[in-house]
Amino acid sequence: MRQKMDYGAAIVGAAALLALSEAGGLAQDKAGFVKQRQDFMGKQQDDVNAIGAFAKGQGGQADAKAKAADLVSLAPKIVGWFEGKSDTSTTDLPGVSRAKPEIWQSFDKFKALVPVLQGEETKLVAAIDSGDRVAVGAQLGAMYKNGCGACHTDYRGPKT
Amino acid sequence: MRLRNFALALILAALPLAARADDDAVTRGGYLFDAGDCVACHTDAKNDGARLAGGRALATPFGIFYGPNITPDPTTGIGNWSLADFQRALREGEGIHGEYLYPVFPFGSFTGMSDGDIADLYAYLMAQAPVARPDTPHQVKFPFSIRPLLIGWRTLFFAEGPLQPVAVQSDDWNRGRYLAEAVVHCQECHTPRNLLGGLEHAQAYAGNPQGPDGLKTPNITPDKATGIGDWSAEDLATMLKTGQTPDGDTVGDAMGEVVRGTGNLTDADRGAIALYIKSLPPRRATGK
Repeated sequence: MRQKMDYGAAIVGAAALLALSEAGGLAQDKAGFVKQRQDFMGKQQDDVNAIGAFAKGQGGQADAKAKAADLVSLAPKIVGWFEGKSDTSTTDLPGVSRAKPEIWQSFDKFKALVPVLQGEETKLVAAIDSGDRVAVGAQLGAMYKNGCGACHTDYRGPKT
Repeated sequence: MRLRNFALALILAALPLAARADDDAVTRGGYLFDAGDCVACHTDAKNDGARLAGGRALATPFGIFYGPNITPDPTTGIGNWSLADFQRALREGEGIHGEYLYPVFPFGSFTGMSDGDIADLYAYLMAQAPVARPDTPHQVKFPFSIRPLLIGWRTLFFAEGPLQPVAVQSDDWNRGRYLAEAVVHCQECHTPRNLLGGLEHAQAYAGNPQGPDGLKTPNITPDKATGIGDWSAEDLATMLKTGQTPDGDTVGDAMGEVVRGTGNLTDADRGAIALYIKSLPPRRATGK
């Protein structure tokens, strides 16, 4: 009888461990996904920094244009990193994710910001084409304000 | 008859001037309104609330406060407030019935504003569309829910303005100080608070681990390790214009809302704010 109970306890314990490790694994998967998403966003930040350097008189025009073209191509992919991923918000992964739940609460509004960003990025390509570094700096500012900033203000939480 | 015509001509000539003066006040007030980012606390944007009609929730250690309706609606807004009423709210932190206002409304900063600027801000608000929306009652924890007790807070932490210029400093520095301290009210978020919610001036601008909505706000003193010692004044002015940070990121969240206002200021004013902030003594964030 005693042995039967021990077996039973062992089975329950194993099941609990399995459930816990699965939950842990899922959380780890989600954290890993958030890291990939942040890397994707960071890639755009790298592009922007290169363009910013060009605006300040460092770096070449061709490289800056390639980076801006990269930004234009990356913008439509932003939505894919968030669609259907409402379990990767600041609420689900505090200290890991900075994506506010508001993204998924008003997903249409969130999505509508992407064409605005892409429009500013397209203007950035044109500004770089003109070779006018002052115009590039000004357009970079417009992109930050109307593109990146518009989204980050409403949908990205602060650093923790 | 000739005299009457002359008087009439004078009146007609004066009318457009008066109207223009009012328009100017509204324009100047709109500028200050942007600088103070009034829209952020007085509009429930998250729930598509009407502009300036209040309802935005702000969680604090003392309870949840809801921004009131500041449209000129006479019943639910401030439509029946006189300029004197409005000035008393900003300068003295008292409501229209003489009640003490909770310091979540940053009158401790606004008290530094000049009479002229307060009048311009009033003119701007009174020129906005009225919206009928009753205020949402605050959910304040006991004993802070007893308004008369605020006299203690005021005695300890409130010093009535307006802000006086510092003679030995430049006009730009004084302008930056005036904007940062009184209008933009930077300290309200970036200075830590004591247990009673008073600003810890010894740690002014060194960041607040328990900022609005419980979120941490950064140290913006020129401390190299925990502040923005690596930022130039130009970096700071750029951030106030577009949100761009020197590392190529953008500010977001509450500071993003601030930038929506400061982005509309003149380059000279953003430069003045940056000059003032960069002149602060470096303070190490305690991070408690």
